[in-house]
Amino acid sequence: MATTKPTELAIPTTTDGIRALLQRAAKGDTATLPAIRKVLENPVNIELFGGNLAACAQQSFVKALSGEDLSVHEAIKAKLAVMRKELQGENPTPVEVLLVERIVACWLQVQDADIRAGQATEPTFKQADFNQRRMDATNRRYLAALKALALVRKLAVPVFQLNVARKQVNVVTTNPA
Amino acid sequence: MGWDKDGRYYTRSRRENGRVVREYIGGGVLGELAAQMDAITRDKRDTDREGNRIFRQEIETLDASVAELNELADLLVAAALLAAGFRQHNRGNWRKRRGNDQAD
Repeated sequence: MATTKPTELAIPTTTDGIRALLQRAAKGDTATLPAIRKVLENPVNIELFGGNLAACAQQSFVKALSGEDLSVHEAIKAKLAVMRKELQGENPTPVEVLLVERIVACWLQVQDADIRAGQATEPTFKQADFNQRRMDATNRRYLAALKALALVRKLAVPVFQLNVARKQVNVVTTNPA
Repeated sequence: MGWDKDGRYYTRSRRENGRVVREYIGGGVLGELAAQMDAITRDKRDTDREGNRIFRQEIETLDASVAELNELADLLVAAALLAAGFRQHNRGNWRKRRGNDQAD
């Protein structure tokens, strides 16, 4: 009996297209998996998907935290660079890079919430409650972001072709699970 | 709060045990002073409310971008794990799919 090969999904090239594809996959549509693998292989797709958003979020928080003070601005940026370096480690995958950027953004959000709560002068009960809830929520999200990175590292999602300078390095990872 | 119909007495209204009670402050200089004090209090309250609204709006704008980033990152993690052959068990742990269950 003749069998027909299922047609492969086209690789999306826009943020919305990638989002729609990932949403289908998250709902359990296994037909999307080959396309997902191709999307994840390419760092450009990951950058397109969330890189800009992460950069914008971080910039907004750095600006809010430092105000007009350029020395504080630079100090925060230096701290973020150290954080990034520590979290990314050697040869991070595109997915890991984005997850690290998210952690950095969440860390900034936690600092922002703490500072605003600390600086509030004679807050009303309602304001104090709002600040407290925001601190709790941002901290929870920060921990969830760290957990997601640890999960991806633990399960060693093998997606990965790295282009280091002009040399292509294929990284083979093993799944302990 | 305000002057009565004839503009002779300044009055304040407040709620006591669910009922509105009107307090007569007086006319002349006393009434003027009370009216000015009330206007200052009202202005301060309005300024505080407006400041609070701007504060909240600024925070909401800041947090919105991180919320979207979180959503995208979660989606990406889920997709990456599915593509690597894992499945999420009851919205909890990720487990490796069994042989027949693998989708390629």
